[in-house]
Amino acid sequence: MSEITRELVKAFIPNYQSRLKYLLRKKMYSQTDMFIRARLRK
Amino acid sequence: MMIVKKCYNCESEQHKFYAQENGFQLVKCDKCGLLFVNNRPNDDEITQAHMQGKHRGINDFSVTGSYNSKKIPQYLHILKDLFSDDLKAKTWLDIGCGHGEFITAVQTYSKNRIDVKGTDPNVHKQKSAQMRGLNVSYFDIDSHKERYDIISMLNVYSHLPNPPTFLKSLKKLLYPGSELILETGDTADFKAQDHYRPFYLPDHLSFASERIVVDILEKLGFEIVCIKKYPLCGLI
Repeated sequence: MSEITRELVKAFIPNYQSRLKYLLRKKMYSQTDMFIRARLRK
Repeated sequence: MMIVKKCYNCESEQHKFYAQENGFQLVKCDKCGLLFVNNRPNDDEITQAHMQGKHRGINDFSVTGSYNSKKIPQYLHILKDLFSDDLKAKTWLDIGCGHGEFITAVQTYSKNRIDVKGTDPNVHKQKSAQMRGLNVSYFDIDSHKERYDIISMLNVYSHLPNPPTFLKSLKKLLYPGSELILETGDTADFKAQDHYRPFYLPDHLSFASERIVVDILEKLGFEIVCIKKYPLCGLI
């Protein structure tokens, strides 16, 4: 997502939670936090 | 200060300059692509920095921050993504729990059915979490005797001098079939000009990718249950 797009999204959706929901729905991001759920083998 | 010659993931000694910041150099391993600081503070300096939340470089900086309640709804969303209705744990340890936002989210999500404990080296964060009534202290993982159904470590990986060694040490705190929730950035494959800045060196010591972290976990005997990705917090 370019800097300009990021700023536009921020301007149109100022609320953080709403912005997060929008970005997740549209997958408008490249650099990500990953949450890995792993299980220790028995 | 110490010089790191080998990549902790693949042990290759071949790497190329990637970026520099605050007097520290980030290099990219030629073999596996891991980004790591190759002129990092020594282990004692890192321990002290984490306890006080203050890191030294050309410019010193503090990382203690403050309690952020806005994180909790985000964590609840993530817990739902990760577990759906499949959360049967009774005990949970959150390593690097900070001010305790994730502990609060786990307690809320589980309707207080889970006994959640936190550990954090930063004395200011410990006090902040304790003031909210959370069970938070700091203990040495190597000598700790308890075991847990789930261990989480959010935004811890990049701060560790040697993540595989640390993750190996966690295995004795888990039962067979216990789970690990590990959060870190998936950024090692980006070109230097595209990587988010600042890197916060030397608080962060390495940046990995999904492939690298999955490889490490599988080598240590973990099976991947699921991986969920979200925008980097600073970028939204």
